[in-house]
Amino acid sequence: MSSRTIVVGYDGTDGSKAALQEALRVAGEIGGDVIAVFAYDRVIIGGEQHDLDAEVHQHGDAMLAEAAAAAQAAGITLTPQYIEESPASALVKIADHHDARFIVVGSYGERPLKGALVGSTPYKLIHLADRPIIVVRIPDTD
Amino acid sequence: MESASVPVPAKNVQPEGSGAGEKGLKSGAIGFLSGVVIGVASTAPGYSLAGALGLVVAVVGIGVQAPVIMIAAFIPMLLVASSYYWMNRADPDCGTTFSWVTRAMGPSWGWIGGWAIIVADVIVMANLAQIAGLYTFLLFGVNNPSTLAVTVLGIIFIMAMTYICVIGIELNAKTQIGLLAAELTALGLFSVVALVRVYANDAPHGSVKPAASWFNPTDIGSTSAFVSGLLLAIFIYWGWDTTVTVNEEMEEPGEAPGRAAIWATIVLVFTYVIVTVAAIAFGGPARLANDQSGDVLGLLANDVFGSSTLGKIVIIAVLSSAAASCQTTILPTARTALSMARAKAIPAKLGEVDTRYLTPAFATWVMGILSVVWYVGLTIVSTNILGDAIAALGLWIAFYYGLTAFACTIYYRRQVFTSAKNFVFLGLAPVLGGLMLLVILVKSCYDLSKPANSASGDSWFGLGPPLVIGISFILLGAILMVIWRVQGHPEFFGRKTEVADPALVAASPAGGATS
Repeated sequence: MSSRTIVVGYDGTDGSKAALQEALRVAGEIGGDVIAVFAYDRVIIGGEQHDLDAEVHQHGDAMLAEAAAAAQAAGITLTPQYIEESPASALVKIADHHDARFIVVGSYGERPLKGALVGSTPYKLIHLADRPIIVVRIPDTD
Repeated sequence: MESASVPVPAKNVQPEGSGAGEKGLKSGAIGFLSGVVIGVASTAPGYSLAGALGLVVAVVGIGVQAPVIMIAAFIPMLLVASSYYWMNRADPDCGTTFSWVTRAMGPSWGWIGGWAIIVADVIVMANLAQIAGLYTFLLFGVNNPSTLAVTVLGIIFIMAMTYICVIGIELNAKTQIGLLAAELTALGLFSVVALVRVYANDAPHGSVKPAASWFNPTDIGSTSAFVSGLLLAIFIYWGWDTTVTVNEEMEEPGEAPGRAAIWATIVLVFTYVIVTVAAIAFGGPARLANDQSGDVLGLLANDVFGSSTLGKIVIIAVLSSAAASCQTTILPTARTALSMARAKAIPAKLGEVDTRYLTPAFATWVMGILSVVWYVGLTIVSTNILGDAIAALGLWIAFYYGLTAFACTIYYRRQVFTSAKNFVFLGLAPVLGGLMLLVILVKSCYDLSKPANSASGDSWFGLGPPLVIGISFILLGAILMVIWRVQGHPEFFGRKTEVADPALVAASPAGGATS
């Protein structure tokens, strides 16, 4: 029996905002809680890492605070989580640990080539996760 | 209503019990082999040889003595890298050159150190672009492409690489291992076939059999020749310092520190020496020296294999190496710009992190665009940009490596005499390395004040182009720093020098534990 916890990838981009909204809505419906994950995949080639890591961490905390505020407004319990790992495996790991009901992520609806270049997180999740994935497309802006 | 629990600003919340530490998550995944691979790939042996081999052989008085230059140039790099390694161990939370020098020697020195890194990056990108352009043409069988065609391709290469760094792509470990294996195999095959053909008297006219005297430094014509050779060869080891600091965080706890870095070094030195010997033996020193356009390795490869199809292996090796080098150059430089911006030493805009890709995107684009401007400008004014750019680059690398080495000892001055080990690694090695680089720098500046000693032989204001390039950028840096300082920014310029916290050294392996 899985818990009523929903894990959502949140980095403050439009796709992740849409994902968070969906996660909060579903959490409200099932009476569950949300874990918002900000994952930072460090590129270790090149060194000189320290200040970039610190800057990203600050940014990540700010984004997670934003998610927490949105959750508070919706009356949902939200646990923020900052993690240095590739988004897909971080989400799977955290979801496994809490035996989450779903993983929710946003999608940019990228063309296959760019998706392959930057590594589409939804696509990877399909292969990695052994629980349902909810992928939320950002509303078309054009 | 359920109350929202908002554990603001949640730092480092970890999934309990999963054994997943914030940083620890990744460390186990990267093994010893990846460490060696990142080390060798960062230094980009194929590209470095393509760019510098002909130039080293061409220095009057070096010729067949190039192999010993390759070995000698490694010594100051080893000593300086030791200061990177031990400083990083003692205080991993303080960045590299810019941060260390600012702490140890004050904001002005720190600023110039950071500036030197940025300048070196902008210059090397032009060089990389030209090599990438040339070798792409060689790959398609065009042996003498026009300067315009190479430049256009080079610009495309710079922009593509900048974009890759902006979106933060890192090849996965397996791809890197594969690419590097292909590169080393290609260079190895090239060397073996070349040497076999030389000994079988099957090599073209002008080839020479290797001799022990090639490794004798005293056979080098003059000190000037030795020093200009070193200045050029420093460039081929550039990038190796990042190996040392990156490796630190990849080592499994309990492993001998730096084992991967040591192996990377051995692979590099051997590769350089063997390829140098093979290329000189097969092509003959005259051919290598006469071809300073940077495509000597590609053209030689066609002859060595007697087939342009096999020769293409070496060309592909150089191209993939140039791409790797691009990453290992742009990334740390953009991160240095970010460090400087965070310290309020340059405009905050340069420290902006892209919200989607989490990379210092703005700084990266600025660097890419400046490189294009520099590349086009230099192509128009200088007849031989490759050689002069590498010599100018050598000046900057020697400058900031030397500065970092001295900063290490100054920062740790209170610990230097606390143990024999500290004395060697925090005192003796950095100071010795720094002094060597200082001597190379001063002597090179003196030699380059005579235009005839530059690769192009051009005269700019009566001086060699590399020296003019070097001095102009120092002046530009000094002017920019003064402008920034005049506008205030006491958070940075008001900083006082610091010394290392004794607890840092005591608690770190540098303080006592064996390595």
